[in-house]
Amino acid sequence: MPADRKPSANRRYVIHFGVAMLAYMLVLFGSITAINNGELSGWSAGLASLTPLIPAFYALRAFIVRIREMDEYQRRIATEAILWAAGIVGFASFGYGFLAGAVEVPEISLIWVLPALGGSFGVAQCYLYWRENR
Amino acid sequence: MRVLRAERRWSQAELGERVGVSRQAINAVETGKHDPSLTLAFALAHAFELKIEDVFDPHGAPD
Repeated sequence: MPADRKPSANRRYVIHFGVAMLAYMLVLFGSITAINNGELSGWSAGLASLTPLIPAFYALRAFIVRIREMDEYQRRIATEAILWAAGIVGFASFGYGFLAGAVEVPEISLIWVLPALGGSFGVAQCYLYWRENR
Repeated sequence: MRVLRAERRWSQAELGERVGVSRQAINAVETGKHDPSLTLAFALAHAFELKIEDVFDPHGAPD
């Protein structure tokens, strides 16, 4: 990839991801408002509750495009960070499931899985860059 | 590779721009923390106007 595309690739990612997050907040607010006002019920409420997934998919697409545009070293770090994030969240949920089968533990909503993946990815990526450059 | 770059007074970022990778990638190759792909190795050799075997030692760490 030509070097002059690097900064614009990152800026493009920030713009697309930012737009996706803004759209996500607006759609989430709209769907919650519509459901809580009692304007929707049954299947329509169910569909409305899923509408925030549309901008979330757009954010995922922006992330995948950014990964494709990275150089081979950045992609290696990002790939390892994704594996760490999947492992951390996967093992945490697996362990919590075992724990819930044995003792009384608070119920945790599945809505936290995606933010946990994103957060774990960010922390893992920072750690991997730090480890490589120390 | 660090020596070749220093001889040309290029920064890691400058070499990265010439071959289309990040400064971190150049640093990782120079410190032996990343084995470059064949494509990147050829691009680096081309940037130095050398043969690939003059830049990379197949039996050891990057020069």
